Amino acid sequence: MPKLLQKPRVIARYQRDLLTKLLPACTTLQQAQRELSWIQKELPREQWEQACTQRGCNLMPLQYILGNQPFGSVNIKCRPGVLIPRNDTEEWCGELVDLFHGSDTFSVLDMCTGSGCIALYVATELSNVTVLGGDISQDCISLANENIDLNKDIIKGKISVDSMDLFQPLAGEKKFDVVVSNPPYIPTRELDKQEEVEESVRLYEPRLALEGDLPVFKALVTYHIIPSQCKIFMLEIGSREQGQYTRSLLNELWVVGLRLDSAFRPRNVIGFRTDIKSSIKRKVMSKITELL
Amino acid sequence: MLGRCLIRNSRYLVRGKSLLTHCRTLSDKSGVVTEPISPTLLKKASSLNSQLKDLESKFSSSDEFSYQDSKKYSLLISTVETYNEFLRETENVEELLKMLHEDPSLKEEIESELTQAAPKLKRLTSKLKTKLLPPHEFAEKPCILELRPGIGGSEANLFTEDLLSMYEKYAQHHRWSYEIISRNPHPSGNGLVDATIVINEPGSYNRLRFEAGVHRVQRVPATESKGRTHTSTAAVVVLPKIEEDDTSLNRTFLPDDIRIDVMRASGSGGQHVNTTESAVRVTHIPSGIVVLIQDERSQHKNKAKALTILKARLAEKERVEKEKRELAERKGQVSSTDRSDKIRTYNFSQNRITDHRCGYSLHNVEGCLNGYKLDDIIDTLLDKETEEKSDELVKQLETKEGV
Repeated sequence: MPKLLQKPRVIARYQRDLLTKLLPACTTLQQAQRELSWIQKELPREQWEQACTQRGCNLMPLQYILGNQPFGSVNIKCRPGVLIPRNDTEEWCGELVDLFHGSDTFSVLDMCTGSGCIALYVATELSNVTVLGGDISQDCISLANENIDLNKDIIKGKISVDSMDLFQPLAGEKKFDVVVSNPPYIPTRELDKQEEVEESVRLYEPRLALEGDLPVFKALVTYHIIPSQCKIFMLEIGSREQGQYTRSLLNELWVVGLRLDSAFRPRNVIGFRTDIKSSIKRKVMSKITELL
Repeated sequence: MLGRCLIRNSRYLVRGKSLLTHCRTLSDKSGVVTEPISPTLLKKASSLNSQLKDLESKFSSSDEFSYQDSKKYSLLISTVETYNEFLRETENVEELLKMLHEDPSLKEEIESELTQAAPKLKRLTSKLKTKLLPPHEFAEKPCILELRPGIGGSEANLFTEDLLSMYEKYAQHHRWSYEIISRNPHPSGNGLVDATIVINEPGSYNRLRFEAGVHRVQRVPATESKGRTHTSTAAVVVLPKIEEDDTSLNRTFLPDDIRIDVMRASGSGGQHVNTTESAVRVTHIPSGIVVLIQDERSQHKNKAKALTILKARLAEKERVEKEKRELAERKGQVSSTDRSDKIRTYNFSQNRITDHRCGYSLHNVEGCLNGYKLDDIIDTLLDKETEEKSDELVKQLETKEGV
């Protein structure tokens, strides 16, 4: 390190310059200070300046700059072309695994797995589980495999990923007990509006993982939930309408409801068949805030 | 000098003559300095000896060996060993003094030996006292220090940062592992709004617990143009860190007792935003304690940290309440080392640090703030506390015996 860079005044000015660069991407000064500390903790010194420019001026997501995002106890590798795991998703994954602590062995299909975050969350928290992650994008499949490798020491259950198309029927008559998914759910009209979707999402994250509406949920129900003969499903949604539409696709054998996230927005549509064990039924019901 | 101490001892001798053959009054002008030790304490120590024998016979007769027993055994044996060593050394000193009387020709040799033996005896006496006292409830625990600025504006923020770095350097000096789990800089970039540091060394609580309270600084701030001295303060809270595998102190919370809030972006959330905000706020409803942690990128880790701090705060709160209750029962005085108001002054212009609880002044501000001189103050405080606690114990034991 050059001697000049050890003087407090010089350090202070350097830090201030970096902060100024970061500010446009952050809502508060405190958040900018935290992002700067994370950049300085995770990246070598020579990349700090470029990272701050990328983040502040070009609005690149911090997760792509640092190349990772913590998700529960899992560390998820991130790179452009694959959706960044969201903390809203992390929240409901925690509630999902609560349902199955101490239950019999069961299988899960995670459709549109992306980075593999949901599948990995479940497989690291539960040992009585076999998870299959499916995605159409080859970028996602290879990243999800890297993430499985990265976290192999803490995986307790069984996990694999495979190339699968959301809009094609499930191949080989596979059966699953549970279907989960964070499918693309931002309608096209919203995706192009700055006030609806954050700039850095629109600029950097893959449209394939974001753009979608009711047809996505129709495909999930008709090609995956019904043919796999699953008992429980939990899907992330962007609007109440998507939940209501999902309800309309299922018969009266299913109890379907909405789960609100911690900001009280409809975040999931949850469904279970009426013929499942009452102990688990009660647990699932406790996660539903509003019946549809 | 010895005479003075032994005269103090002789006050006890009137009551417990038979016990204390080794503490005879000896008026001599040799350089021996010993702290007085009460016969009641010595009686307690000798009673431990028989307890140890009982425990030993129990071990040899049965195969059962409980964890509690072995813990008690190791505690007893170390106390008894110190006691025996103390007896040997007292005897030694006594023998030397006797020889001095009988054979004045050896005076020089004996005195040189005495100057060596005396500090050893002094050390043993205070060690024995400490061992006989009941240990602090959290003595074996690692600790968490929480720092907050008090009065004095931005100078208090700066001083908080100085204190944080003092504890960091103190931990480095001892080669203890530590972690700053929360550090909120002031928006101006100068000083801290608050900070939390965890020192993972078991037993660090026992030394650092004396840091709890208000620290006062008197100096000319870097920002002061007219060279005036300012007075500002920072507050330190010391908590025991409760480990996950600690069966007696670790707790699980009822879902109704605790509320966990996470930071959420406004707007639609979900896929619409890729926020990096990860703050977690934990509220413990029965006690009203609120902990906010936002330093880690991982919400999961922030939550775990917040719960660690909550558990530590609850444990400390319960200890303080328990102590208050006991105090009320005993109607005893508040010992001066417990006082949690202004505990220490750092005066830069005089290069002096004064601890108001023991009246000790250290003339090395830099050495203290760099961590390696802090132990001088802590040692003095520990000695003072031992002194007070042993006096109290003697009082208790004596009332029990009806002396």
